[in-house]
Amino acid sequence: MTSRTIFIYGAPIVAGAFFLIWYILPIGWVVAISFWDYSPIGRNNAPVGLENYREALTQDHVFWAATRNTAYFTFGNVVLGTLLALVIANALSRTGAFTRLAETAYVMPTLFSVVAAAVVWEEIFQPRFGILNNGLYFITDTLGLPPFPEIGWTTTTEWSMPTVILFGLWKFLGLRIIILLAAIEAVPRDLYEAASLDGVTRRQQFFHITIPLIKPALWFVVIAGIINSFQVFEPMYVITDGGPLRSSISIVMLVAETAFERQRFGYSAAISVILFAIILAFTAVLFWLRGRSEAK
Amino acid sequence: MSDRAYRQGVLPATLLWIGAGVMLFPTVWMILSAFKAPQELLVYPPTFFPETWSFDYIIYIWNERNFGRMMMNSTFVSTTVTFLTVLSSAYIAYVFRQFDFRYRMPLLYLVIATTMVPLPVLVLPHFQMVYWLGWLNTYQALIVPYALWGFGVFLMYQFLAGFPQDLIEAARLDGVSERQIFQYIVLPLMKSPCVALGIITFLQQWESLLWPLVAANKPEMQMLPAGLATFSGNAVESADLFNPYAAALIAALPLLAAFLAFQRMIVKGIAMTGMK
Repeated sequence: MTSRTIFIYGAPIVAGAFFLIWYILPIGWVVAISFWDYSPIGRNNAPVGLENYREALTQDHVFWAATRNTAYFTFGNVVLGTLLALVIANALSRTGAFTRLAETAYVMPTLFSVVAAAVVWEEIFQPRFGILNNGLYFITDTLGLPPFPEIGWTTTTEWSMPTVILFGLWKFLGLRIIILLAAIEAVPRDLYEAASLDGVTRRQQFFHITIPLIKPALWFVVIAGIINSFQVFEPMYVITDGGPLRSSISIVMLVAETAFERQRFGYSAAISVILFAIILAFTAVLFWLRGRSEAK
Repeated sequence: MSDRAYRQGVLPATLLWIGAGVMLFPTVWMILSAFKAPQELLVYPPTFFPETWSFDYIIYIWNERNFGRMMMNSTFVSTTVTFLTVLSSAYIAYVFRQFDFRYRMPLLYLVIATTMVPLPVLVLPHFQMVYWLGWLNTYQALIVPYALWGFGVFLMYQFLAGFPQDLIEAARLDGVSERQIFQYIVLPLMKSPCVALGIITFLQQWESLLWPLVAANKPEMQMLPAGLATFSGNAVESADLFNPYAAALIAALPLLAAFLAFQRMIVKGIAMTGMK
């Protein structure tokens, strides 16, 4: 065998073996045991047909709570995040001298290790000692305004999800800004100059020049945002531990808890498969919508 | 300047800067608070700057709470995975672009299709495999499953679309071997996708929580995020020297410092991975 043969056939062999061992077989295994009552330490492992799926979809309140929370997080994070990022990227592309400095501030959280950031967030939003409640109370108190109430950001069922969504907005905004800003800066400048000479206002330029020309980047931000948000785990795990009363548990958190705390691998696998199916369905619909909007 | 133009220019700029302040606050607050005594974090009215600046809490966490070891683990695993992912992705993408062999297209589609698999779905089967292999609490458990990434191959494959063939042909005529052509001619010209892929791979590994939590829970094998998440639980309430901001600062500092030093390169790298 010549070294040329080794060099060429090495690539498909390495790629094929790697993805077979670490992707294809594991996915097959997950699907297979989702039809089993399976635990690595259990003695009564047995096939149960669709029982795991039936339990998740018709019986398990926590599964539905996790699905609702994950959908809520995805909706808040993608809709608000994309709109905010679009407005900010547009502003960053237009203001002059200190833009780099502002960009640094917006992009910084992207490079802030997510668990470390969530720990900081947990401390800041801590209801009794956190700087958010304390600082706002201090300001209202000093100014003689009605005192700011002690909001239970991380400790009440109505605030736990908004707190986590705020965290997601803060953490992932920079990523979206980077991509949208790069797209906006790639729009030819003379389009704007010509439009200005014709008396087109900045607002009109934004809607009729910028938006249509950065559509591919916008689609990317939305699709990637939805795919990633459905897999949210770290913010809930660190900031609220999924609580209180499961009010902020996510699907991935439930998958992990079911498998590694309750040892129910089969049931955990069924929930993973449902998550995978949801993500695939959303991706398919979004790609179809994107194709239709480009065909126009 | 007309009133309208004034409003159009100044109002957005002001909002932009207020927003920047809000975005920056958690980072600034973490840095300042890391130097405060844990008791000072609980006082009212809150202090902005530490009463006395002290490195004690950072040193305490580094030495007594295992963060020195976790930093080493995180650095080693993230660097190795990044190195392996970038090199293997570049190599595989190049061969798939440049040569024809049986099952080339089906294999390529398969590799690209793997990017659709959500990584959390793989945690359970990977745990089972690593358990069977006897790899729990080892570096290979943390490294091997992430040594190659479908998205990386895809990114490189896209980049190689318009690669200048005459360079490769000329080298071949001179009798340079295929491996050397890749190593000395192609790879240096692939610097920008390599840097881009390297940045996001490193970032992902440095941040990764779920898999290290599952695969390596022994203290000497823990990585920073897993260790940090385990420690932070009841930090505020405990009266010892544990300052959660100091712990977060240790875990966050390397990347934040790298960002300030290489902002332009990092931003360009991230932007490139979004351009598809």
